[in-house]
This record gives sequence, C-alpha cells and structure tokens, in this order.
Amino acid sequence: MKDNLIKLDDVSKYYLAGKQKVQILKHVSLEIDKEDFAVIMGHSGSGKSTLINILGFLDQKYEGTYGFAGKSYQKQSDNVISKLRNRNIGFIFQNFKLMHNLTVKENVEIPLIYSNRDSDQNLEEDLNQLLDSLGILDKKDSYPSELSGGQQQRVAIARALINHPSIIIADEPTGALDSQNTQEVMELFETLNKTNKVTIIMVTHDDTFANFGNRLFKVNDGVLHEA
Amino acid sequence: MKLKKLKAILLTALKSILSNKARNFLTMFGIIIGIAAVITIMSVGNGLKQKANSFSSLGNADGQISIQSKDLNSDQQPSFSKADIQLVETVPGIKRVKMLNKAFPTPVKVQVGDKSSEQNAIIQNSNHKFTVVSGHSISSDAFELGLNQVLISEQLNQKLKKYNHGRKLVFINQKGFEVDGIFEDGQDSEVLIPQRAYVRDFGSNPNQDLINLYVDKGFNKKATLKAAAKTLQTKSDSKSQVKFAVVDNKASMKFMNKIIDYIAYFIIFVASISLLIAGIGVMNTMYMTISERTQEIGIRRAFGATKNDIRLQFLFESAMLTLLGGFGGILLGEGICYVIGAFAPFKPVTSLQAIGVSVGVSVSIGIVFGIIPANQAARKNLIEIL
Repeated sequence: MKDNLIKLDDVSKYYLAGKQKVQILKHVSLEIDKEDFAVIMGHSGSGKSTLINILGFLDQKYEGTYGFAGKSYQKQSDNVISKLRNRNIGFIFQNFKLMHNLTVKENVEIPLIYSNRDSDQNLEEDLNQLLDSLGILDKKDSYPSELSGGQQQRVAIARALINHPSIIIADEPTGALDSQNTQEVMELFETLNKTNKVTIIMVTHDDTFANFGNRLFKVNDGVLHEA
Repeated sequence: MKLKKLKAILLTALKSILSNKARNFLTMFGIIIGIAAVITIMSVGNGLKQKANSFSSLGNADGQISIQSKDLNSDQQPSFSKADIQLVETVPGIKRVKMLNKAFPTPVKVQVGDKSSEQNAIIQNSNHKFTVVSGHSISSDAFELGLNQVLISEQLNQKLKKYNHGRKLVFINQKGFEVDGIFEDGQDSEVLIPQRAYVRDFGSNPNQDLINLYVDKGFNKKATLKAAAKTLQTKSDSKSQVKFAVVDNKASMKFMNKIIDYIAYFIIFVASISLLIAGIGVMNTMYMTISERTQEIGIRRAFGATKNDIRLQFLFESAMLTLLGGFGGILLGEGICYVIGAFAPFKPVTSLQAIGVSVGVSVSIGIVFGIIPANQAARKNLIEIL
C-alpha cells in the first residue's frame, strides 16, 4: 500500500449551536497524492471551509484519522503543528490577508521568520526569483494598499510558496478578483502544478473551475464525494 | 532564539508603537512620571548624603578614634605616633588604619556685604597646600599672633567684588577678617583661617588628630573600635598624657541618612502607586492592540508562528513600551534634578544604581502587566480569527 500525501479516514466534525450539536462534516474520507490538483466544490455552509481547516492543520478538533505523509499529527503539541504548517502548508485566502503595515517583501518573508532558514545564503536570491516569476519584483518595497487586487493575490501566492511547502491550500483564491485577474491567477496555479509540481488543494463554489484540476470533489451538507 | 525572529519581533513591536504615537504616549505618561519621581528622589537623597558626608572626614571608614590631651588647658594638640598606628593594627578585626593629619573642612558662616552663606573653611597654621593667585599669603607672624587675616577662594572673591565695593573685609561667624589674598579654586573649602585666630575668636579647635579605622567583615564594628581605643589607652607610649576615644560621629550622620531614606521610601511608595496605575494602563493598551491585530495573529499563526512566538511578540511590545516610558522618565528626572541643583545648596547625584532600578522597574512593569494580554493573544482560536 502506498502512502498518500493526505489521507483522511472517516473524519467527522461537530460544533455547538447553542445547546445543539451540529455535524458539519460527515464521515469524510479522502486521499490526495503528490502533484495532485484537487478542486473541492461546495456551497457556503457545506463544510468545505471546515474541511480545509482540518487539512491545513488549523483545526485539530475532529473525529477520525488524518494521515499527512503517512503520519498522524492529531495529538501533537502546538510547536510541532506550527512547524508543520510553516514547512508544509502554504495558505492562500480569498481576501489575500496581507499585512498592510508591511511591504511586499516583508509580507512574503513572514513564513521565513518562523523557519530555521537563517543560515540559508540564497534566501534573498530565492525571494527575488519568486517575486520575478510572479511578475511583482518591481513592487518589492511597495505596500499592499498600493497594489491592485491581482497583484495582492500574487503577493499572497509568493508568501505561500516561499518555504517550498508540500501543499498549497487555496480558499476561494479568486473570490475577490475580476475576471481578467481570475483568469491569470488560475493559469498561474496550473503552471505551478504542471511545471513546478506543486500539490494544490483549491476550494471554490464557482463551477467554471471544475475542470482545472485532475481531481474534483464535491461537498454537500458535510458529505464529500469525488466527482 | 533565531536572530531573524528576534529582529522581526523587535521591528514589529517598534512599528506598532510608532503607529499609535498618541495612545502610546498617554500610556507611557504614568511610567514617565513614576520613573522621574524615582530618579529625582534617589538622586536628591544621594546628593544630600554626599553633601552630609563631605562635612565629615569619616568617608567610608567604619569608625574613628580621636586623641586629646588630658590637660584641658594645654595648647599642645597631641597626635598619633607611628607606634600608635602599629599598635592599633595588631587589634583583632582591624583591617586597615588611615591617619588623618590634615585639617578638615569646617563649615562656617561667611558674610560678604549683606550676603551670607555657609562655606567650608580650612583652619590650620600655615599656607600649606594653598596657591595664592593674587594678593599675598598670610605671614608667619599673622599665624603666630593669630591675627584675623584670611585667604579666600577665587569664587568667593567674585562675591567680594560684587557686594563689598572693594573693601577687603569678610565676616566669619560674625567676626571681621581681613582678606590677605586669593587662592586658586579647587580646594574643598573657600576660606583659610589661621588656627590661633579661630581658637581665640570661637573658643574651640575644630581640628582633631584622628585615625580612620576599617573593620574586617564578620567582626562587630562597635566592639572592635572600642577594643582598639582601649588597646591604645593601655599600651601607647603617651598614654599618661592623652585620652583616646572612639568618635561618635556616625550617630548624627546615621540619623540624617535615615531621615533621607525614610523620605525616599515614602516618595518611592507614592511613585509605585503611579507606576501601578500606569501598569494597568499598559495592560489596557495591550488588550486594545491585540484586538486590533487579531488578523495579524491569525496570519502569523497560519504561516508557522507558535503560541510562544505570539506571546513573545506582545510581551516584547509591552516591555518596549514601558522601557521607552522609563527612558522618558529618566530624562525628565534628570531635568528635575538639574533644576533642583541650580537652586538648592547641594547637587543631586544620579547613581548608576538609580538608572538600573529605573530600567529594571519599567521593563518589569511591561512584562508583569503584558503577560496576561500576551497569553490571551497566544491562546486565540485560529479558526475564529482567520
């Protein structure tokens, strides 16, 4: 049996609405391999955000098992989980979530602060190359408020990629972009997946992206099935 | 900790403090006032003590023994011999003996024109150690006869020129003295008075031959000093003519120092209340900062910051805020000391210890009152804040 990069087995999640226990994820099982581009579709409230919170190690409170590269992290300490996020997960959010009092460079460097790559001599070069490949090298010292939405999302993508994570988790990455920028960002994802072999999990409610990845999942009322 | 992380934490803290100047200044205000009060009172106390100590020849010695003639009518001032010193050094517990055979500065009231002030005078029988820069030194006849002639310092001469309309006359403890010459500033006194004149005019010789004694650690100071005096009295060659006695000059000094200390404690107590209130202000500001920056906490956590990283981030910020306040307080305190020094008859002296206490106290306030908000920031639920 080969080890999947991600293997969810019978994962359920509940939350309390007042005194009532509501099940938001129902016995979800899921396998994602290296270099997959998985698209997870679902309406708001379907449980897809909860699912990626668990996949991205932001939420540790669930039932069932989650194996990441063949290992379970459910009972690990905050330090271990934080390090895992730092090294292996690159988040991209719908509303970019950049820090507005930091420059583009400083925003992209945030994951580096918490990694042990201090002695890495090529860090600066790495960063410049990454920004260049995303077409925002000339914006290095600008602040997010001086950039367009598309440029801001590229900064967020750079931040997600800087530590060479095993997986990119994108939550509605084009939700706040116009059609032109949406197209560009999606093409960028495709290149990252095909050329750079980056594993991507993307969550969206937009049907037009259904065929972008090689895997398509649908979440409905907490139940996940592969399409 | 990684250098990069430390740098990032410091820069973030600084940026955050600078981006909210008005609010943070108000937060720091209490710290500034409190620390300024601490610096001022410690420096004033220190200055007063130094001033008080300058009147005494004790310095940092543990005690003194005086030598006096048994015959009260004798003109002869007895003095310690080399043998006496060696004798004292054999007393168990005595670490060191220092002879004081110079004349000590004696406070006198000097009146020039209608201005009077307290000055230190040297009362001795020669011009020894005094360099006359204008006029002439006191003649040996004048010393011999005890004429009311004095030398004064350049500084005092300035007053003489200003208030005395050229008359070379000063009043010392209300007796008139003729000014013979002016000596260079830099002595620890402003007036040189012939000893005979002083004794005749004021009825006592303020100079005493003394030895300063230093007592070994672990020995009872009082008992050791008593034993030394007793040894001298029983074994000295001159024991039949003179009386050796432990000088009780520390008692009055101790009393004064104690009063200064009590005043200092009281003001520091009041300052502590100010600092306590300031600390609560810091806590409040940190809660505000943290709630404004929940998004930032979420982002940092998502990209690998541990709970500890977040806690440290806000602790540093809080400590930096209060440390800046502390620096402000030190500066303000120094300013107040400068003003006090300009008007009071003594100069406040800020010790390194006072600066250390100020820095320590301000940083501690930041940490103590920052820890609860910082913990709260670290414990925030990631899913809720992202």
